[in-house]
Parts: sequence; C-alpha cells; structure tokens
Amino acid sequence: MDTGIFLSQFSVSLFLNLLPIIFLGVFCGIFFCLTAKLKAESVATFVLPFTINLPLAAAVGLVLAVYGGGRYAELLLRAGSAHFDLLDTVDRDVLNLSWQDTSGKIFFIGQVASLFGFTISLIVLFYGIPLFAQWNIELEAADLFAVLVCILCVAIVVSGKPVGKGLISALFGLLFCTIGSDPISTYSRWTYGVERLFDGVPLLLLLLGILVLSDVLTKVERFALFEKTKHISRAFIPKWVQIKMTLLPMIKGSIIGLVVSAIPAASRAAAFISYYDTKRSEQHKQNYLVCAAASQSAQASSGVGAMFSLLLFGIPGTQLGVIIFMTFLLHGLQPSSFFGQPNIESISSILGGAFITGIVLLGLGFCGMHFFAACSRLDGRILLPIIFVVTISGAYLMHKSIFDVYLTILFGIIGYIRNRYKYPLMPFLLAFILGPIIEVNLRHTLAFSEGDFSILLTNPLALILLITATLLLLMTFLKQWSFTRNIKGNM
Amino acid sequence: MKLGDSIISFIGLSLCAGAWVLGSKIPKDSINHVGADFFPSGVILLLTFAFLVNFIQIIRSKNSKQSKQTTGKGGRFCCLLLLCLFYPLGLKWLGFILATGILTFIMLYLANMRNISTVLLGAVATPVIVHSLFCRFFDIELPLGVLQRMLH
Repeated sequence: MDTGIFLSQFSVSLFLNLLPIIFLGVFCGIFFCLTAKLKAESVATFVLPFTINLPLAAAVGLVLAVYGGGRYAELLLRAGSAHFDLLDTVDRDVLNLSWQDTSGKIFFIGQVASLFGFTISLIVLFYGIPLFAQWNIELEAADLFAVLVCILCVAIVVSGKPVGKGLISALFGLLFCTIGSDPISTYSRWTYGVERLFDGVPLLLLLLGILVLSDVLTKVERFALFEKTKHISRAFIPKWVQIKMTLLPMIKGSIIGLVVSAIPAASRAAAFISYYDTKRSEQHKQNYLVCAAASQSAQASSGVGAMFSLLLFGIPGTQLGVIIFMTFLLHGLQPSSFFGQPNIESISSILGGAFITGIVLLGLGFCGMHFFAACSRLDGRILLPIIFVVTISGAYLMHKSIFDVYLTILFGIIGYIRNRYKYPLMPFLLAFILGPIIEVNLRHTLAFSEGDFSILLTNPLALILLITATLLLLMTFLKQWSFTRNIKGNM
Repeated sequence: MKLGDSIISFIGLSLCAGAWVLGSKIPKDSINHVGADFFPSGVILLLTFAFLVNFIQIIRSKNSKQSKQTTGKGGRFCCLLLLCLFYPLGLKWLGFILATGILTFIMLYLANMRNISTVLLGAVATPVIVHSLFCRFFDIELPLGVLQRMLH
C-alpha cells in the first residue's frame, strides 16, 4: 500500500465539500459542550444517527469535528474555571491557580500543544499505516484469544478505577455480547423470542444510551455544581521565552503519546505519564505552563495514535475510536479485521476529516475564544431534555421500533449508574466489541483440544500473554489494596 | 457512596444468580459444539467472583468527603431513574408530545430551574419543535398516542 493512494482520495473538491460540514460540526461541538456541559464523546455520539445519509468521509468528518469542538470546549471550561485541573482528578493542587493571570495563557499553550501533538501523530499515521499494513502476521486462535484478553486487562488497569470495578465492567460487556445468536451453532441465547435481539444488542443503541443519555442524566443531577466560566484574560499570548520553554516538553509529550498509544487501549495513560515525567524534572517542577504543554500534547497525540489499532486491527483503543468504529459500521464498513488489510476508504476519510478539523479548530478556536468563553456563561439546562428527547427519537428513527427506545433507555440507566458509582466505561465497550472474537477464538481453540483448557498453557505466546494479563491485574489490585490500607492507617 | 456501591454489588450478585439459573435451564443437547456452554456460564462465574471482590473492597474502604460531594443527592437520582423507567410507557400511552412535555418539565425542575414560567415554556416548546423537526426533515411520524385518538 502506498501513501499516494491516500493523497489521490483526498482531492480539493473533497476538501471544499467537507469544510462546511466540519465547520458546523466544530461549532456545534463547542456550543453544546460549553452550554450543556456535556462531554465531547457524548456530543459526538449524539450526532451518529444523523450521519447515516451522509457519505462516509462527511460522516467521519462530522464526528471528528464535533469531538474536536467538544475537546476544545472542555479545555476552555477548565482553563476558565477558578480551579483549573488539567488531568481531571490527579494532582489538583499543582494547577490550582488564580485564573485572572494564567487562564488565558494556559488555554493558549494547551491549544497549541494539542495541535502540535495532533499534527505529529497525523503525519506518523499517514506514513506509518502503509508501512505496517505490509506486515503479514498470522496468529493461531489461542494466541489471538490471549492477545484480546491481554488488551482487555490493559483497558481495566489503565482506566484508573478499582480493579474490581474494571473487571465487573469488562465482564458485563462480555455478558452483553452473548445476547443473540451463538456465533458458531446459531443457537439463540438470552433473546426470549425477541427478533430484534437475534443479531445481538445493537451497538448504536448501546452507545446512545451509555454515552449520551447517561451523561444528560448525570448533568441534570449535578448542574448546580458547575462553576460559571470566568472571563479569559485579554493577554492570553505567553511571552516568547515561555513558548520556547514548552517546545521540548511538547515534542517529548507527542512521542510519549505515540509510543503509549501503540498498545491498544492504553492511550489514556499517555497524558499522565508525560505530565509526571515533566513534573519530575527539577527545572519544570513549578512551571504549570510546561506541565500543561506536555500533558496536552501527549493526550492529543495518543488520541490520534490510537487510530493505529483501529485501522490496522479493528480494535478501538479510545472512546472516540469506538464512535468512529460505529460510524463505519453504519456505512456497512469494517475498519479492518485483526491483522488484515486495512480499508483504504476508512483511512482516507479519517485522515481527511482530522486534517480539516485541525485547520478549522485552529482558526475558529483562536478567533472565537472570547465569544465561546461568553457562550459558556449561558444557562444550558434547557438543552438537556432536548438532547435526551432527540437521542431517543434518533434511536427510534433507525427501525421505527419502540423496543429500540426501551433498549436505549435501559442502557442509559446502566450508564447513569456507572457514572454515579464510577465504574470505568472503556473496558465495558471494548469487551462488548471484542467479545464475539474472543468467544469464537476460545471455542476454536477448545475444539482442537476437544474441550481441554491445557492447550492454552502449551502454546508459548498465549501462555506469556495470559500470565502478563493476570500479573497486570494482580499487581494493580495489590497496589490499590496497599494504598487503601495506608490511607486507613494514616486516619 | 459506600451504601450505594454495596447495593449495586448486591444487585449484581442477584443478577448473576438469576442468569445462572436461567442458563442452567438451556438443554445441553441443543448446543452440540465444544465450549458452547462454557462461554456464558464462565463469564457469569467470573462476574460473580468480580462482584465479590468489589464487595470486599467496598467494605474495606472508607467514605471520603470528595466522593460524597460528587455523588449528589439520592432523591434526585431516584427521581431520574423513575422518570427514565416511566418515559417509554408514557411514550406508548400518552404519545410523544405529552410524554415529552412532562419529561421536560420534571427534568428542568430537577436541574434546579425554579422559574415556573420558563420551565412551562420549555415543556411546551421542546416536544412541539422536536416533533415538527422529525416530521419535516426525516419524514418520521413519532407516536401521538392520546392526541391522535382525540383528533380522530
């Protein structure tokens, strides 16, 4: 495969066709996230049912644009709030700054670092995919089963939540994917005669419920807790010395993001690793701008880098990956089978969409910064029931079935409980998507050995991977256990 | 938080028990492929184990101030759950416009919007706008329920 193929797919006419859709997507993403305080992933999922009639490139472009807009809004909201926390929950005190002096500068550096990491990853993706696609790795069923189990364990560990909760999420995902016809004998399981479930639980309804409805319900419950964004300071461009200081951490963060995202489902860890790596050096210990640049570039580069696993192996490593995976499924495409040849159309649509989104975000983001900061002070509560109702109508729109509405709401409730009690989402989604492949490969392996599980222990690669997975879980569990004991001891 | 988590674990364990009973009713001769009975049963078994581990972790942990703040009030949580459960029923019997109007009203009220005239305006405007948008752009007739019977 040649990089020229991507370039031939990406013409000027496509650019001009995509530009208005992406501009609209970015604007909507920013507006909904700023006013209704929804997550970028929720708003990107919200537009999914309405992308069916669009061509693939436009659909992927729209999803990427809405997500990009949402991420921009999240950064703006955090930069403008009195308690700025870059990494959600970790180390809040370090960046607990007075917003009047620093919010604009942090936002500027964060935005530049995101675009930097994003561009570096996009270039690597552009030249890397044709290179990696030439590899022809053939795995046995037992090896593939072990690889997928290992990826699930990585997702549980990286989620940052207690291992018990991560395991429950992943196993729940595996249990949900057993609903429907048995993949080998076509015997129907847990369907109770409901025809709509014979092909399994529809992924779109699951995503609409677990990402959008749950987020809306959570925001209805907690809307009063949100702070209104303060004015972003006028002098938001840092001094040249400050920008120069952030250059090296930005490059380092981008590389860390790319390397970490090479492991499917591990990309969430990139921002943390880059942040702590920068913080550890004496030089930048108290320099919040440098820390912000390092973590933001790593986050952006790992977000794009996670597309590697989606396009090469068909494994979505992030929530955005899952949403794009769903967009492809809606258009009757599979990004790639495991270690199969990637789909050129899917790659060029992602690269094109990401490229134009980057350009639009650069322009709209910096020019409209003060306008969007003012938008965030609007009362967006009225949008929450509207989004709730439109999501349900979107679920109904697909097959005009009230059963789909029930299913979406059921997943909404599950997602709401998950949000409230902090069960990680990624292991659940990954287990749901990878579950059928895990099951088929395990059963093929067992068919070879006539039901004897020791076959998994006689295969060296499978054995190493399964031991690694078990050790990962055990070590994280023990670490969390000792951490809880230490806290109790200090109280 | 601790109580809520314990309840979730308890419900999870009950669900596992129920799934186990339902799974055991499947006649073994209906699936004649090696490992077919293992996959759902094995997953349920592991899930039961994970719920037990989680339960132990909850018992060992202590309530923190931060978790209490972010969890919010239980009353609002229960109201939203009930609202979600009854909305599809309302959609079937009352129709889209009435059910959505009621849902919007309650949701805005639960989101601390105390200006009744704004809440009422939102409750009237939301279903009408969404219904007309779907009819016009997607050519989808959302169920009208009682209103349709009244119109006929």
